[in-house]
Amino acid sequence: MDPLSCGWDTARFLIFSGNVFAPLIYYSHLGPLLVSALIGIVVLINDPRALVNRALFVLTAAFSVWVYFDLVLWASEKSEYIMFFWSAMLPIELLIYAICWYLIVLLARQGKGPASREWLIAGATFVPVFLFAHTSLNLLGYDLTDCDREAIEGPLWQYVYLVELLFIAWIVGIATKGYRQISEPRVRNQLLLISSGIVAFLFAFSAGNILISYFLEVDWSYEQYKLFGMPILVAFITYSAIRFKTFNLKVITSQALVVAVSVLVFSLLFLRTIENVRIIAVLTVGFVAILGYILIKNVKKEIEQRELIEKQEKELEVVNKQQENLLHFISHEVKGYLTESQAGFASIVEGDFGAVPDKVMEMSKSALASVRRGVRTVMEILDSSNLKKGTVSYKKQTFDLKETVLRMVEHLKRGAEEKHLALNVSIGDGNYTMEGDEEKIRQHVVRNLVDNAIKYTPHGTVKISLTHSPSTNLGAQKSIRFSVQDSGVGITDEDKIKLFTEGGHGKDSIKTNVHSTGYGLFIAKQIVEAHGGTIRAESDGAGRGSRFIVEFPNK
Amino acid sequence: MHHPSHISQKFLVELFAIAFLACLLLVWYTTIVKKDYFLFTDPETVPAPTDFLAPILGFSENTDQE
Repeated sequence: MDPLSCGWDTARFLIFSGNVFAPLIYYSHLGPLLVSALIGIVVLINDPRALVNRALFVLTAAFSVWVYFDLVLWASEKSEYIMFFWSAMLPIELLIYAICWYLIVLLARQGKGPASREWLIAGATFVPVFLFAHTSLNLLGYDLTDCDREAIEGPLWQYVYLVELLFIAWIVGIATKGYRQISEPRVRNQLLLISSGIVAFLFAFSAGNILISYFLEVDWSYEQYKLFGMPILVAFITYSAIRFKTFNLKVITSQALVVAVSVLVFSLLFLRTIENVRIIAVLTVGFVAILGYILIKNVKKEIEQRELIEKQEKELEVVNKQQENLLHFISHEVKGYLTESQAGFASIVEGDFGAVPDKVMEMSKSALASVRRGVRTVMEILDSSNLKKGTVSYKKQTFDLKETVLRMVEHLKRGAEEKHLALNVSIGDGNYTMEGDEEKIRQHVVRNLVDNAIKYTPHGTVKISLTHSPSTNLGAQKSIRFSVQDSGVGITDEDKIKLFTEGGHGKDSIKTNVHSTGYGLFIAKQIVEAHGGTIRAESDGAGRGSRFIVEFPNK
Repeated sequence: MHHPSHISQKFLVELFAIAFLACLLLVWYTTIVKKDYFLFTDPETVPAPTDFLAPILGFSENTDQE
């Protein structure tokens, strides 16, 4: 018989031809193929190192290849192609069962793979297939009588059908044992879900084979129904991924899966009206409805949690505000007491009470220093609180920053001398007049930076410089640059991040300066920025000194 | 802790993959390259599909046309 006389179409890409008798074949094949390939890729991308994810990827890949090969059998007109793809499906089909078995072993034994003996038994089932797949034990030959265009299956197929049933039984056994042994309900339910999905999938597959061989008189058109086990498995896997995070999938991935399934349903619209398609449509819609329900349930839960967080956030804001007010009140009160004490001790030291014994004088001087430090600390906290509240007013005046710097350096010189630090001041030529609140800049910026440099430099030098910078930071206008460089403890990259934040201490700064409140640089930054300037810190790291640069717009 | 079965498992998986590919290659060579299969064009010579599984599963043979 001449094959040409049968009038077969030539298949494009091996799978598209008029030889496929109904578009249902494409739906039953391409649907599960796309869904399984998609889920396999998504799962692998999410966590390529997890064994369960890898196993699921190989399973979906093998299934996709099998489905593609099966489609070739429907579409191809060439006997050699049908013989090759039909023969090759034998080891691939067995592989699908073996991977399902491996996946269940991993889940039932919580990540532990099969024992060596189990590996050998599973591997041994493949030996006859590997040895005889290319012989007539696999396919007896190609039937062209009456233009039949199909292969005749040999005993090796019967052997594989039997092994498949044994694999299903083995899987059920392992899953049942695992279910009994696992005590954690979450892991148990996850195992129950995935193993039910896998058994349903494999059962649909094997039932298809056996029904066709023994009840349906080798009518391969029924074969397409066995593929619908895969969407069932996908449904179970998706549920498990959402509910138990089995494959470490993110919520968004689960949503993507639902979209993919919906697209499949949509594709039904393009099929011709066939009774079978309606049945499949109903099944698929049911499947999507279940997925949708699960998803909506999860989204609802998420919204509830978000609402709770928002409520707690509001409560926290109120508590924060109350605490801030309390802190403000306490600081204000303490400041009053301290200022009073300061005045008292100052009067003694300045001789308002006449000559006092040496011991009293000594104690008064020390107490005055402490009280002053206390006042400064309280002031810093109060200022920071006011800056945050926005209740700080600035006096706008024109002043010479050069004078301010020189005055402050003169004032702090003693501290540097006591520590034997070299205090170098360099002031470039030109005009340094600027507009702003002189007192705040002096106290909180110049004083703070120079004082810090002295405090955090155990030995070496502190360089203070005032120059005009051609910097573009503040636009085309020339700016005044005030910088303080020291050879002190330096700043680590970790500390740089919180340097200008409220209460932001350096990790080790407290060791060098026990009185640090952590508010100084926060206040300096607020004040510099209120004047349209910038402040930044540079350091090569711990122990390598630091440099603070402030830039103000020139008047 | 060193676990010797891990190495042997990896080796077995690799061996399996090689055997699998070799099997497919052999099938490809016999069918597509050599076209070494029986092409039935006469209905008289077409054998009935094998089903030694039928008695095991308890099904009656139904593929025999007789």
